[in-house]
Amino acid sequence: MEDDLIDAALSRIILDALTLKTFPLKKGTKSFEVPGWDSLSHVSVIMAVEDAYAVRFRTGDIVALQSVGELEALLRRTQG
Amino acid sequence: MIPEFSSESGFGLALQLPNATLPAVWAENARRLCDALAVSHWADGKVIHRYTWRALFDEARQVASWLRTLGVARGQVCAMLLRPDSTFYPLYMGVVLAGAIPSVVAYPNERLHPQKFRDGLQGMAAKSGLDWILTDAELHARFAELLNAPDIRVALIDDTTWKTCQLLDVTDVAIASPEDMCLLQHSSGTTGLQKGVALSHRAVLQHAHHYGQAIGMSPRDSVASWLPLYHDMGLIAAFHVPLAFGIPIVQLDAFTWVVRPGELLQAIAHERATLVWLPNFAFNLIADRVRTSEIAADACVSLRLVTSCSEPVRQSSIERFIEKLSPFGLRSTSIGASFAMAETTFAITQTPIGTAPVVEHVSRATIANGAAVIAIDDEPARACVSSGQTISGCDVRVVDADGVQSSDGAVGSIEVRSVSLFTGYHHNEAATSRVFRDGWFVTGDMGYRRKGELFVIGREKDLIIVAGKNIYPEDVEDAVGRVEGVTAGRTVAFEIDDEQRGTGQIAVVVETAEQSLAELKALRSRVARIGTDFDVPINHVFFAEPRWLIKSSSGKLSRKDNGARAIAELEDVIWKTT
Repeated sequence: MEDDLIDAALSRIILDALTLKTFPLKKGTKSFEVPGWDSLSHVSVIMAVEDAYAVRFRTGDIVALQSVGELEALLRRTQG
Repeated sequence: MIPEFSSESGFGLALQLPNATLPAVWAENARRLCDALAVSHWADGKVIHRYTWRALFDEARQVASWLRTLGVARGQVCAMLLRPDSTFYPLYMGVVLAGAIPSVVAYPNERLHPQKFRDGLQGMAAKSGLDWILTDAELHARFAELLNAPDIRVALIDDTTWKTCQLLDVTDVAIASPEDMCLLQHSSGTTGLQKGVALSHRAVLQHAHHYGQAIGMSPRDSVASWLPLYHDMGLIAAFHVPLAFGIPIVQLDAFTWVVRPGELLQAIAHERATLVWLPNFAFNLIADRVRTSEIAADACVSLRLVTSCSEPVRQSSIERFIEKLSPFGLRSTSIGASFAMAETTFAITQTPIGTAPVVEHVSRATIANGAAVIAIDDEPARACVSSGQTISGCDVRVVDADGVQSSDGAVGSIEVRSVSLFTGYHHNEAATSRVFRDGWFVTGDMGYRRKGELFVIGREKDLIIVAGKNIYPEDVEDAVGRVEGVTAGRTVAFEIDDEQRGTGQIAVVVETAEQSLAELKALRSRVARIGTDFDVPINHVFFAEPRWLIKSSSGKLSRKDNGARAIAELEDVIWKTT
């Protein structure tokens, strides 16, 4: 369902960081389900999101992330 | 009994005594250093826990008491399957004090396929005869069936487990002899066929002594590390060596470091650490994925040695690292390299302190024919970075196919002798006997020597031989990895036997995000063309989607396994260049 997709702008930032043209990022999508999103590229994704939205996540919060939806929720919380 | 050390015994002396054992040296350091800092455990960018030498040793004695009450017996192998938190240090030392044998196992992350984890642990149990698994309740619940195997006992760990136990009497903690096995280290592997490298007290302490000399270890040193402790570089270089000398250990959680590589620089700056060991990829990660704005102005001023090890050393990685961190106090002469492996406890060579690693630009044409000749003019060349010079206590030789020692510049098989050589592969005499030739340990690595420097250029068993010409897969992977459309660092090259011609052919598996047939055809042409650029015919190109290639637990791509898998599974999507 399209309702499950994360915000389009956030999705584009993540996909660009992974050099992916397209991939449906849903709230329940886990990083290891996304081509190229491994432990080393994770830092690229996080930095891209932080830079785009001018935020800084706590390391513990990043490590605890289980899904793309949780990353989106963490971004919203951090933005206040 | 613990040997008596005189009050004059000081830095590094305890581990030189002929009957020294780990418990004896640790006891002496606790007595000598008392309330000085032993371990600073970092996570989430801050200090989580600090141990003094006395507190660390005393808690390890409590662990040993607790293990004894559980029934852990001397000589039993205890697999440590735990998250990397601050309880690791006394627990690990407590296992040794109890006379048992610790074996640190990688804690499975969410990406690891459960079956792969099961295969690995079952293979380890079958090969090494695990007696105990020390783990947490969470993992025990996830793998209850596996962890409750009939011959293996499980001890559940939390951070209060042994806090009410008495300290094991100090006269009871050093019953080991120097030749006893003190730890078991499993080689990384993806198939469950890991071999357990058995090391004695003498080997670990002799290695610390000789390696300490090579890097000029002093009481003013401290080690900062994010390296996982199931890997020899983390366990030996960044844990056992400082533990033996009694210098502080600053340990970061590897899980958090990988998302915030800059935290290593934070910890170095805060703790004034002087020594760091890194695999090559970490040089790139720090250079590329740490914001300059987040690095303290004097972050690297205290660093006197950053050693590249455990992966082929790349000149470009070192250059990028220096460029990034020199504004923050890093000196180019503080970068070193080392050739090391678990079977020799750790280091065999090291760049002499105060000098930069020697780099040679060697003709690709000559290196393929077994001679590392310096390239001239615009001849295609490979930048070979020296792993340094042989440390005391070790001998290195390079031999040809007949086992005859080669002259400087001749490429051959690297063999070593060392005072810190392993006892053997645990419960595997056949595998042990296969890796020795005339008393020399056959490392399986290829390289050459020149003017006392050792240059490691590839793995012998991965060598591709095409019409009598030796091709190093690293060379092919490096070239193909730079082709537009290929995911960097996600290529493996291997040999496919060409029965008709009686020789090998070069095959590559490359990961790519390209999906259309037209794009893939163009990419195939670019890959094939890059091979012809240095006279290497790439006959087979297997395209795979991102993340298709499997890494071992040490993060390396297995050529053999991935090649076999490509042939078996990518049959329908192979595009051959011929």
